[in-house]
Amino acid sequence: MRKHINIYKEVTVDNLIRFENVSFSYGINKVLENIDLTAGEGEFLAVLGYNGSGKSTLAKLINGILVPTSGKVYVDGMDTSDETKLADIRKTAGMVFQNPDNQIVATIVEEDIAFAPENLGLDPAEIRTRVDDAIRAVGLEKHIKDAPHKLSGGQKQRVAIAGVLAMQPRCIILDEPTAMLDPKGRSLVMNVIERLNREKGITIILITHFMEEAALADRIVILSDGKIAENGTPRQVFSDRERMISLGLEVPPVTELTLDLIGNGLPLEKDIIHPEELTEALIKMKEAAV
Amino acid sequence: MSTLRLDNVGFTYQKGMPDEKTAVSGVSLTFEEGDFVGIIGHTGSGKSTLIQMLNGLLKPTTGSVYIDGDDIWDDKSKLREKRFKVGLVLQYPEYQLFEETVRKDIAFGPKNLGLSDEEIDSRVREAAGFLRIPEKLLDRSPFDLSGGEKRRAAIAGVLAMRPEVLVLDEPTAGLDPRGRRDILDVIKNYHEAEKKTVILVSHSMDDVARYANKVLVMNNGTLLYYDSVGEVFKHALELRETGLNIPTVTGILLTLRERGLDVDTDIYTPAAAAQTITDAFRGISG
Amino acid sequence: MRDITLGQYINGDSVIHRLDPRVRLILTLAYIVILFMFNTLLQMVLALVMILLAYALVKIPVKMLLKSLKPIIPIILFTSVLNMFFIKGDVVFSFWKIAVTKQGLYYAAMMSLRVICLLAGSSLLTYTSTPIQLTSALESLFKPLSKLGLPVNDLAMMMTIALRFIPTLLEETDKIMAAQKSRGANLDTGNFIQRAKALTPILIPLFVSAFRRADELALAMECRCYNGGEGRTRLNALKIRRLDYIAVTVFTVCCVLLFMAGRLAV
Repeated sequence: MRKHINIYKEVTVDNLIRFENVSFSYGINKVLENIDLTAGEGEFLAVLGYNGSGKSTLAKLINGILVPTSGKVYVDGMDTSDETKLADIRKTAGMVFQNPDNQIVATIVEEDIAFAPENLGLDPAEIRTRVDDAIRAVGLEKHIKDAPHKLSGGQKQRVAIAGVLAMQPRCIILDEPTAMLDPKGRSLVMNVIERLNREKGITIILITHFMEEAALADRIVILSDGKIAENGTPRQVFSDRERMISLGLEVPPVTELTLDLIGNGLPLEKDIIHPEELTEALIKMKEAAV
Repeated sequence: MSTLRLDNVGFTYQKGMPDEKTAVSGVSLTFEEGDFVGIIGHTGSGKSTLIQMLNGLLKPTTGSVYIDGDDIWDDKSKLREKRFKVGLVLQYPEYQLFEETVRKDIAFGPKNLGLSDEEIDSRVREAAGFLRIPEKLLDRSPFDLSGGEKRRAAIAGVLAMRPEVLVLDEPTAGLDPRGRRDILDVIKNYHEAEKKTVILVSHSMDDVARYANKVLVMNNGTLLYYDSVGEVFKHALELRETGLNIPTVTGILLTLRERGLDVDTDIYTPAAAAQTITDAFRGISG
Repeated sequence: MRDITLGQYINGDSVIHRLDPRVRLILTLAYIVILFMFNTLLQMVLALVMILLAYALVKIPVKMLLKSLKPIIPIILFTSVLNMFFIKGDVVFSFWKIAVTKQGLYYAAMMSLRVICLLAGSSLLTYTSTPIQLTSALESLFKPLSKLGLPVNDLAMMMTIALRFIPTLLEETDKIMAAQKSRGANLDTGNFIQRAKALTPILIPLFVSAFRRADELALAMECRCYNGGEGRTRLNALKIRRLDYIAVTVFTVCCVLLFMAGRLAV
């Protein structure tokens, strides 16, 4: 059964990732409560929330780094609390972390990308193919023999993504992957992520606090105080300015501008989230008026 | 109060070696007392190198740095004294925490200045106050604190030295929106209360626009602009060309102007942008 | 902003670069051993010629080799002087009470050449092998020991990670030093005890950071299905090829020639 979420791609409602009434506590601290969440094959899901809302914990529950205190997490039907399934779960759902340096293991890029396939015991020819495909997918062919410490933050993070791609996962979880990067690095990494989702149909679960990044997603989940506060498309969620601020977040500048213009009486749709949409709408208005 | 002046300052890494790299060249300017200066520039434009020359961490390979009229490198014995008039907070300062308690860590700087115990104690309280660090945290281990608390403890460690000029390199790096607001508000309050010079290196032109009164733009190691916020933002188009991320709304205004709408482009906040766009439409219909 | 290249590796595609690193390692060790087995000047000269031919194959400019010899010039001078003046034999010339003998000159030359060959030989190894290649070579050579329970694969992984993080940790040390210097830390003055104490604000953050990195790295490795060294394959598996057999043969022939030269020389 397929469902058209938007005109650019199809999402099968297969529930690749499924959280069933998940709660998690560190000792007596309740970090997450009654989380019910699904992510379908090919979907781009963003998880937002202020620091401490439980986003990182949620990410770590997906691939079994943490196991729910109650409830269950399933990856492609596999229960994350089943230790015998962990290797398969991690092959299916790869994870990229915040610190670009602390994910790179080898002394040259090529060997780091080969790390996962080597762990899986694949034969050298297969590893070679996967490494070449992965490095091409992130656009770093020129740097294949470079040492990691010579790379910029954005390049290192792309190497980390390539290292995960080499496992041929169906889903990639990224826990604030751009938090430590400069604007250029951030946009390069987001381009790669968005392209992987669009061209290769890889499910993306992006934990972030940057609004412009969340705006690229098909669906946004906002966590507050360990619970899901909002679950909808970026358009639905962003245009409620007061709600966003009460949840400790910001509204993307373009949405703020749109809401201010609407306040001034201009006839615009309030769910504008991309700058291009606003400029197009305004130019159309100008041409109509002239 | 101190003035900080740069005269044709430049820095070349690995000078004389085959792989030498000039990071900064020909920068001349004066930081006036009490200014809040934002330093912006693309990655690699020399911002970090420049600020390390302000407090004597790096010695300029050309030109001189003057604090209160004295070249800080003239008299080696006076160098330390002069240097500490400029307090430098580097990126991710929480990585410098090392003491047993937050109190002791903040006291590290004042202790190195040779102050008395009473003076040190008073400085620690004062700095903790500026950074809104609650009393009960002072006797905890810095490693027990949350990320945001650690950062504030680290910045307090520099403020406790009572520098005349406070320089911060991307103090909001890695923080979420709420954390960013908190740190910048703290810095702004400090600036308003103490009236001392604050220099802030940032990648966010939005932040610089909101908090600074002057902007210094670095481009490929040289000084491109150094003027009031309003004046510098008039060059939004050129700024974008140097690889800077101009505020989203400014980018929208530039595009609208290109497409024939008569809007002002030296604007960087959504509210003001809404105003100029609305006015432009009134101009068409009116 | 330091460019930290470990081990002086020079990228290249020479015959020696293309050898299996295990062969390179073993031949280097063998070369060093034979340097100590022979004791005639002729043999040392031939050994020098041998290593210079190898350098010619790699196309390393002689300038580089001369530069790397600079630090050992004092040693060479020292041993030469000792040998020249203090070995008894046929006096060549003398001034005051000190005599220079023919045997002395001979031994001085031989010892000097030996030291030069030693340095040249081991440098050639590091010029043509990356630290990773050497680690792989050692891992492979020691593999039989894993049957005795020695965790060879895990040790090799640790070596790799250490090598990978040395430049990163050095950069971090620079940053920590800059931060503490900005807070008044005095790292350059005082006696030994004072300087040691002054290192605390550098070492503690560095250690804390290193532990944190290790923690995060271990997690990332687990997420990429690392489960110890068992069952791991390699992208660039080491393989002995025809070139390696040729190299070993050529080397053996040279050794035989050197051995025979010893018979010729007096």
